[in-house]
Amino acid sequence: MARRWLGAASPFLVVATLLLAWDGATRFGLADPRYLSRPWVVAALIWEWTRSGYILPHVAATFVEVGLGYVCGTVAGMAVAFLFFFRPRLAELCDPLVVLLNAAPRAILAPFAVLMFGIDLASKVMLVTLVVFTITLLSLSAGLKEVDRTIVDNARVMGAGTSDLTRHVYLPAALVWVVSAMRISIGQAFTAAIVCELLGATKGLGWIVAAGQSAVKPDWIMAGLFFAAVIVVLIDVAILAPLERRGSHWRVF
Amino acid sequence: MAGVLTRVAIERLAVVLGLLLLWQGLPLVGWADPFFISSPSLVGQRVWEWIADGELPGHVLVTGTEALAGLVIGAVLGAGFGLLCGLWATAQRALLPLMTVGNALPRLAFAPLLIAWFGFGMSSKIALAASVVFFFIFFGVYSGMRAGNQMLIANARVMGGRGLALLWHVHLPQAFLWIIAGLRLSVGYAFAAAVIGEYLGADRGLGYLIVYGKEMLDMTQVFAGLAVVILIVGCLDVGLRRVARAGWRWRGGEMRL
Repeated sequence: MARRWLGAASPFLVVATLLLAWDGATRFGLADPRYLSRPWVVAALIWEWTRSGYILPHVAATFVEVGLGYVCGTVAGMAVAFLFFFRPRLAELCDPLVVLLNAAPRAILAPFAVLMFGIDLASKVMLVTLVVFTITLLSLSAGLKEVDRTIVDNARVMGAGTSDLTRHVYLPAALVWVVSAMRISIGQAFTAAIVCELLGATKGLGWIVAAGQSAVKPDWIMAGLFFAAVIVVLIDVAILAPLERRGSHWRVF
Repeated sequence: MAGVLTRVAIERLAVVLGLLLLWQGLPLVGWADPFFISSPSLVGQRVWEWIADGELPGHVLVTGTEALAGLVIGAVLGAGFGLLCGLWATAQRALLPLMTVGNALPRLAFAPLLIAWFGFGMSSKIALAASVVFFFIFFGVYSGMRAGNQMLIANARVMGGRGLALLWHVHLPQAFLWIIAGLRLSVGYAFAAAVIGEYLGADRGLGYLIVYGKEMLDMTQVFAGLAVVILIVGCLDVGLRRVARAGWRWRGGEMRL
C-alpha cells in the first residue's frame, strides 16, 4: 500500500526536487537570480496575475487567435482532403506543394506572417490556420484511404451516390481523423500563435513573454510560459484525449 | 512504369513553375504589391548575392551547428531516459507522467526562457533544439521497447538473456525503427528550434538573416532566408527517408512513409 502511494506520488516528488534544486541554486550563488528568477517569485507573480485578472485579456487574445485559426484550418484542410480524395489527379499534381508545406515546422514562418499581415490578429490567425490546415490535410488524406472498401462497395450496391457516400460513410470516418489531427496540432497551433506574438504583438501570452524578455524580467517570461503550458496541457488532457478515446469507439469503418 | 513516373514528374514541375510564374507576374499586372510579395527572381538574386559575397556559408554553418549539436545532445539524453523508463518500472512511474506533460508543452515557444538562461550565443539555441529533440527520441525509444514483441523478450529471458545482452540483441533491434522515425521527425524540428531561437536573439545564423529582413521590412530577405532553411531541411528529410527505408529492408519489413 505504502509502495503504491509512493509510486503515485513519485512524479510530484521529482518536480518538488527540481524546484528545490532551482531555489537552492539561486540561494547559494550557483545561478544568478537576475536571469533565473526564483520559484516563489514566479509563483507569487502567477498568483498575482490570476487574482487581479491581469492575465485574462492576454489569455483571451491568444485563445481567439488559436480558435479562429483552428476553425479555418480544419474546414480548409477537410475541404482540400476531400477534393484530393475524389480527384486523385489533382492530388498527384499538388504533391510537391504538400511536401513543401510539410518540410519544416510551420512556426518558422512567423516573421513572414508578421511582415505580411501585420502585428494584429490576422498574422496569428493565418499562421495557426496554415499549421492546422497542413496537419488536417495530411492526417485526413491518410485516413480516407483506410476507409473499408467493403462498406463503400456495399453502399454503392445499395444505390449510394458520391454525395450519399460522403455524408454517411466518409464524413463520419473523417471526424475520427480530424479529432486525432486536432490532438497533434493543438500544441503546434499554440506554438505558432505564441511565436508570432513574440515577434510582433500588442497583447497575448507571447507578448507578455516578449515584454519580459526585453525588460530582462525572467519571472515574467516564466509566468507567461506557465499559463501557456497549463492551457495547452489542460486542453490536451481534459478535452482532446477523452474525445479521441470516444472517437476510437466510434471507429466502426 | 518509368514513362508514367517521368510524365507525372514533368506535370508536377509544370505546376510548380506555373505558380512561380504567377508569383512573378502578379505585380506586373498590378494585382499585388512587390513590396509585400517580393518575387522569385528577386529572391533568387538575393540568395545568389549571399553565395557570391561568401556570407551564406557562415550563417548556414552557425544554424547547422546549433541544430546538429542540439540533435545529438537531445537524442543521447532522450535515448538514455527512454531506456531507463523502458527497463526500470520505478523510473517509469516517476518520469512518464512528467514526460507526457513535457511532450504536450509548446516547447518552441520557450525560446525566450532559454535565451534568458543561456544568453544570446549558440548555447541557448542548442538547448532549445535539444529540449525539442529529447521528447521525440524519448518516446521513440520508450514506445519501441513497449511495442516490442513481449513473447520474444520472455523467450530470450528464459534462455538466460539478461542485462546488456538482452538490451543489445532484443530491445534495441525492436526499438530501432521507432528511433529512426523519431530521428527523422527531429531533424526538421532541430533546425526550426535553432532558427526560432535566432529570431529571438542572435547576431548570426539563418534565423538572424530572416528576422533582420523582417525588421528592415524587406520581404525578399525573409523569403530568401526561409527558402534556404526549407531547402536544407527538405534535403535532409529526403536523405533520412532513404536511410529509414534501408533500415526497414534490413529488418525485413515494409514501410509506408
